[in-house]
Amino acid sequence: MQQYDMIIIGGGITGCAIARELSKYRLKVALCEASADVAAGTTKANGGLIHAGDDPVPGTLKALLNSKGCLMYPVLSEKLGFRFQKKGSMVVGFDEKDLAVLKKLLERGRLNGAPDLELIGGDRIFDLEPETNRKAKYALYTPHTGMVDPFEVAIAFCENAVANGVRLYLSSPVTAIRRAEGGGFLVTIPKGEIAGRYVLNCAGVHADDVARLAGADEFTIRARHGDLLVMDKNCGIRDVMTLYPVPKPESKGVVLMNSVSGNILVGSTAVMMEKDDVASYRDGIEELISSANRLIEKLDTRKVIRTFAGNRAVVVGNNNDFYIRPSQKVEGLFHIAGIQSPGVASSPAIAAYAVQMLKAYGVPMVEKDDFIDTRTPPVDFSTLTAEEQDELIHKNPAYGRIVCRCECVTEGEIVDALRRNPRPTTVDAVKRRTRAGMGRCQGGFCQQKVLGIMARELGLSPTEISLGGADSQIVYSKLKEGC
Amino acid sequence: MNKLQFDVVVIGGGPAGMGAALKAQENGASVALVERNPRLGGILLQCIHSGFGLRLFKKELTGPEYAQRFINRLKDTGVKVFLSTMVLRITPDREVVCMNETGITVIHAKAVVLAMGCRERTRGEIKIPGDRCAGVMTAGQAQHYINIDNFCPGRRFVILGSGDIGLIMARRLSLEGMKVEGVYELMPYPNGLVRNLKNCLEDFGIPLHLSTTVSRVIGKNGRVSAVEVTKVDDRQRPLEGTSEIVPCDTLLLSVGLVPENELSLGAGVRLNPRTNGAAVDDSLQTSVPGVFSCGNVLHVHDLADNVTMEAERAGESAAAYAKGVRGESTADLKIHCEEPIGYTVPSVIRSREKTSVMFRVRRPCDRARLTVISAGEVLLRGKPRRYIPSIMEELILTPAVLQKAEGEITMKIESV
Amino acid sequence: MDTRKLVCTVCPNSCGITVELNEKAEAVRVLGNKCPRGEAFARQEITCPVRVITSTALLRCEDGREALLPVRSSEAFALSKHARAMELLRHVTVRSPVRMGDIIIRNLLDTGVDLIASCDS
Repeated sequence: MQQYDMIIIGGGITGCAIARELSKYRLKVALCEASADVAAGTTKANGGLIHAGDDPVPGTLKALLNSKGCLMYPVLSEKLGFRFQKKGSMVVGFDEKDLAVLKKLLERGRLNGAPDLELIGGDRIFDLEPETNRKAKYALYTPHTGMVDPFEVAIAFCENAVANGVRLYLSSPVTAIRRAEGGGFLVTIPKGEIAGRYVLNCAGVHADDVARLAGADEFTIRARHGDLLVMDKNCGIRDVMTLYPVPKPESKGVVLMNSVSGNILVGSTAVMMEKDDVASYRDGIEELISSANRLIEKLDTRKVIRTFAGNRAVVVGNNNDFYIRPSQKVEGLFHIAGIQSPGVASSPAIAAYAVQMLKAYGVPMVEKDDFIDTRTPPVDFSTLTAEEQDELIHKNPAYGRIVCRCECVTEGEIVDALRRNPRPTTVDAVKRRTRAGMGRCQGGFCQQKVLGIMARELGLSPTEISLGGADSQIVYSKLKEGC
Repeated sequence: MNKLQFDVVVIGGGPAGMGAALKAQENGASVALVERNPRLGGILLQCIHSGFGLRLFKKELTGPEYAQRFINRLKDTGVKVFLSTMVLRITPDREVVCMNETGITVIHAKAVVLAMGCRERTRGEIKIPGDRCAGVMTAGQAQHYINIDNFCPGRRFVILGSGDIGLIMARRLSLEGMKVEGVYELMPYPNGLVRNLKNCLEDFGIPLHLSTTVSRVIGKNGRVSAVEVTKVDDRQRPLEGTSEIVPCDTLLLSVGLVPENELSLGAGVRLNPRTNGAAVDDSLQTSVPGVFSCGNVLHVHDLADNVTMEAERAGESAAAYAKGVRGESTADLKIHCEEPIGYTVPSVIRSREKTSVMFRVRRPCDRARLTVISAGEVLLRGKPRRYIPSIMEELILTPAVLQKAEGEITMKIESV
Repeated sequence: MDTRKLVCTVCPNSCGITVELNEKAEAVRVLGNKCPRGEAFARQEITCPVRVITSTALLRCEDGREALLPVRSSEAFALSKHARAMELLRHVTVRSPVRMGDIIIRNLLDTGVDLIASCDS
């Protein structure tokens, strides 16, 4: 049986960030993810905002970790080679009532120590973002709000963790956790049991279920569902600053943002739903469209290329705060739960905080001297100059073969993704790494090509490759058998 | 980086690109034809059904046969064909930046013909809610899997949209032993050609449900397990209490085509919001001088033969432009169309030569006639007849008619 | 007298045709067609509907790769035999090179119609 010091359950951005942080120490670490890929739950259903720390209720764990986490991004982006763009944001107000709310938000932001916040009005709003609805009168401007691609970040964390010795178990839902004789835990995954001295519960909306498996029935999670939509890069508006509406008591409202890849994203709604319901809803989509049009009137919402949805984990009775603490009931079990917005912005700080928690608990933590703190990022062919592209193709002609024409993704990039560790095994996993299929045709032209390359590289038949794991097979059998 | 120069560079090797390249070459231009796939033919290669060529060849050809005739013709010309070559961008001064396995090539063109075709509308564009699972695909994608890749992409299908591709796929799936539960159409009338309704649905006993749409996708373990269908009112809004669950493992979408003008936009070409294609004059020249457009990238056609004929006009115009021949400059005649005419191509006439104006109605008109008016004077009045959205119409404006027009031409279709 | 309404599929005109039938269900009169091909179509459709079949056959390329070759029947033949033709096609292998028009199956199911290649491959 494999023996580990730490077993992390859940490969979302939180679990991946913690895995990377723990890989700095002389520890044997396992990361168990139920899905066929990391970042496949709440993490992928996220807009990618890096909040500047102004918004959480002052004094909460969220406020602390958000303001620390967002400051860690510029350095991490350099080291791990993921995209981070500081675009700034505005909360847009239309009348005096809104102004009163904006003033409160400014006060809260200052209490949180968020730097350079400004309450602005009039033309300054349109100087900063010319596309803003012309009826806007006031805005709270936060210059340090950033954007990332959440799965790119989680995958970067994970690849770096794996490079530093973390063992990743994909398609490995945990079905039982029991105490081992002589301390520690035995965790059951489809491959069998693995042993760990400590268990870190990062299981997102299912963290309460995982806690219960370990005998720690101490909190309940409910799912707050959010719909999001993605606009075509050619929707007439590009490179906008993140715009928020003035929040209402029940929700922060629908945000309009510009992804690091150049699409406008609109999200998300907030409705309590069943944990595993990540379907998108007509009402939600309609709310997104009307909210987006209130922020930017001329946004042509016919140019939507995709809708998607996800669930945030809300710990009941925890005032919407993160729930990060050792279990009160089971020794050696730690919960990193209730990681709702701004979970992505906070994740690097959550990981650091988790390490502090372990140290405080008395877990022996000795730093490695051979930790690799950088990762070679994959090539993004579409962003290279013509000269660089030419040179790359001369080195490797696979970069001269376009697979996804909407996003300009080459075969070289797909092959590179398939040769990385961890290796993507589903079409969606390849999409999240390369953007093949993320454009306006949504894979209509390239899916079969991706399937062919994957089959070749993975030594499988296309009938054995799924869209996102489980039974999500794309093609069944061969039609013409021949003689 | 490689640098080349041609009189005319044609982007796209489908029926439009091949037609334009052949005609440009015939008119004395040096021509490069750039195709991203390893073979010429474009979407015709996967359209293995017959129905092509009736107008041009007076024969019912299959898509590959139609393509092969042009491929064979190209072999005997000096047209330089670049296969497996993707155009990355076109600059406003007509530098065509291409890539393939040998690297980046910049082709300077005296004239460019845009012939990139169109793509299908997707689930995201029509915003069908529900689970995001495997088994939702466009009809053309399924067609590729079945006719090119030799894979069965599902076992039990629901088809949304009664456009020709959807109908043809219903037949194709049935022939290959897959089950088609039904074709659902949002509008109160079918969108495909009548012959396809008969040969593709009736022949196989596949029901067509009008004024009904797919309102939700239901998945299980990551694959479609059913769809919810709902009747709609006369403004296409779902009618409460009319939903039904139809078990299936695949939803095929045949919900419209969109010209693929991303390269055109990069070159600064102005689009006509009614067609999503370039705004062109009667020589099929776009707003960028020397850049011409034809085929499905200009507006969505229902017959390949019409694509070819339009492409030949574009090829001829491009060759003339490359040789420095400029038509007589006359006052622009704008074509203004009124409902139910959705659009016209061209939208402006510069010459006073015989001009073919293509147009399409937005809704069926059972007995109606076309009237062409300019400066208060009726220039033409057609015979009463039926107009339907699935058939593209052609109006020929003769020099005699054009001479009488001033400033603007208005086209109307009125019920009688 | 019985009548049957048909849509002519010979060309995109899609004429609406009415066929008047006698007691033996034979066509007596054909109305609504704009051309003589329409009348022939209607008479055929009443007795034995025929269609061109188009499908694919497995192609073994010279380099060993497998692909699909689009094929068609040279003429229309009884719709009732199409299912059997499809079954037959499932187990055919064609070797490249092939030229458009090459016969893949001669006298398909004794219909007198050949199955031919739709393009070069």
